Amino acid sequence: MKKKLALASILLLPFIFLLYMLFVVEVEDPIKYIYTITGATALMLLYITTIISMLKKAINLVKYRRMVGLFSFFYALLHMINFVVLDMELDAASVISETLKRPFIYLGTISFLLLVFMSITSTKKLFPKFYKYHKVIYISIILSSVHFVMAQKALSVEQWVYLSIMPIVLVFKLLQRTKIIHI
Amino acid sequence: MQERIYRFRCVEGWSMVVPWVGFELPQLIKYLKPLSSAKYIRFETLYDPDQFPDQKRGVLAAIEYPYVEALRMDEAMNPLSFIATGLYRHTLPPQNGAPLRLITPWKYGFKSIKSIAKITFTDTEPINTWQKIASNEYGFFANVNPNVDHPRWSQARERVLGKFFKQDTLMFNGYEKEVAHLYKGIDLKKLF
Ligand code: HEM
Repeated sequence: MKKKLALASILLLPFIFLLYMLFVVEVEDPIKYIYTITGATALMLLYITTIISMLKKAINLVKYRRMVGLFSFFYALLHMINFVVLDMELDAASVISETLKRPFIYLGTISFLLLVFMSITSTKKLFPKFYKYHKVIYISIILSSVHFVMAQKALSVEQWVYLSIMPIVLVFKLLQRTKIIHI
Repeated sequence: MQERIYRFRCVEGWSMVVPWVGFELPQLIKYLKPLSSAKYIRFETLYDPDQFPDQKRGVLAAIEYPYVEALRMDEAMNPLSFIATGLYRHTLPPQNGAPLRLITPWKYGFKSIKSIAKITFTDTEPINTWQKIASNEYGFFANVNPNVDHPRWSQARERVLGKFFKQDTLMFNGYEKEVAHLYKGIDLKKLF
């Protein structure tokens, strides 16, 4: 329990950092900054969630997996709220038209809906029935990555870093599934 | 030298107001006396990997160098076209494009080429850096236009730096009176 609390506090750090940058440092482009911090954190936590699954035979951290996944959803939710409240200014018509018109937005939305699905079905009661569908986390990772690449004019070095983790995770998972490596 | 306070609108959706210091581009052109056959003015950024970190990355660089931007002669001769040597009453810092930077406030920010090292007059339309990377996304003119979206995102509104709320983007970034005549008869949806 104590360990879980400690983990939750660590997972909240990006959020506290974001608040600090927004209201104390006052970054000059807040909407963009919220996208970057929440989007990158959500994606990183999705990676960590999958890595916990992959390494469970070597180091069993599965009891923390749900919390990491839920925090990823939490950051994705902030990201989505940033879109609806600050970027679209609660204008339902533009939320809908932008979502349907822009491929990078609907890919992000699909990815987000997959996270919603996994969060809802992650309870003790529902997880046994639904865990096999939680493989959609890999689809969510791929869609989110395509999504953030399409949102940019050119990729920065940091963006290349979070992009390059994707093939490593996917190839590792594939090798494990096909029993080429045993971890 | 004079101060010019211009709106600045980035193609990625942010905007700010900047007090530049410098001189009108038409003054420089008159001094350079191009041939009457010149139809375009082409600018090139300094290529010096020792000073520009991204140029050092070779094939891993974000874009191809040297950076190129160009204007039609009549655009360049518009009195709004400006060469900045400073901002906020100080000399331009290196990252803002020292020593000379083009400023065309009715166009998206990427037109305002930094650290100009070479100017050429030509009669054929040059291909600008972003145009070369993605001509379906970045046209030769790159005029600020809230009615023509970037293929991947909307250009109707902008995020003013330092503010939480957005504002409407104005046609030609608010300089319609000064520059609209340059594009009479041109379909700006096609030639964006
Ligand atoms: C409701 C669904 C979503 C919407 C409407 C949305 C919207 C956006 C928008 C508009 C941007 C562009 C910001 C800009 O550069 O101006 C963006 C960037 C980004 N999004 Fe999303 N997104 C969604 C879901 C997601 C999800 C689920 C993830 C990750 C798990 C994600 C990760 C990212 C990342 C990493 C960036 C790049 C940030 C940067 O480098 O600046 N997004 N998103």
